Amino acid sequence: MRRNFTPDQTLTDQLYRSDTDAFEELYRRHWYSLYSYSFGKLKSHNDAKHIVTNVFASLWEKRTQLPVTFSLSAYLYAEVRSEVIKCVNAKMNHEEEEQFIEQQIIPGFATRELAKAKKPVSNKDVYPKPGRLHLSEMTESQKETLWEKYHSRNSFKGIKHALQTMLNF
Amino acid sequence: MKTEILHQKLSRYLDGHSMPAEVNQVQTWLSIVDKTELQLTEEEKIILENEILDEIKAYTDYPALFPKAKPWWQKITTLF
Repeated sequence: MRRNFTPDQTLTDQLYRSDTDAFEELYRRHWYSLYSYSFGKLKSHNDAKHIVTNVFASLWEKRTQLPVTFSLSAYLYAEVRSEVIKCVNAKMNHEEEEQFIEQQIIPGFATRELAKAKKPVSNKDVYPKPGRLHLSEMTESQKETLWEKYHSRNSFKGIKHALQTMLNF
Repeated sequence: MKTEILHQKLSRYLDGHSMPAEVNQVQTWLSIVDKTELQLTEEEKIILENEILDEIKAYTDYPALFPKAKPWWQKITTLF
């Protein structure tokens, strides 16, 4: 696939002229983050799909009314949040969704859960450091490389470096 | 919290009639991002991406209203 490095702002300007290529490029850049956010909140592929469709369809409909100081990411983020609330609200009208609401949505509104949002995000939460690999957990090829390094009379630093590279430490 | 209370709370939020504390509660819930990652392979992602794009196309009908311009080589080949 050919990569497009045009900034979002330029593509949004092109959107004003009903440029379908610009619209599709914007869609390809942002759909996944919106989809994963919606899925994380609603735990349903169908709902997440429906929300992404609605958000981008509404962006296309509003393309000629976008303000000059328009921020696409802020717009998409606000829209997807609003759509998630609408979806949860609509689910409450259906009795078959009651169990889902009670088990998945309502606990999220508890004070203890909401307090998590105020905690600073650490790198450890986002990118957990892999634990040390025990010899018994290594694959045969990893063990072989370690053995070769040991017998080639490398220094401990050399062996350590080889292991770190091999295990992505 | 009961389902009914949450339902009323969300309806007020959508209508713009909620109290500041309720707005804060709903927006805080929205800002919590689920850390369990969505597990999709690259192939599944491509299929899903195209499926959603097709739905958007069907909904807005933009390919029919704003057809893409043909590349120069296609214009030439149509002459023959």
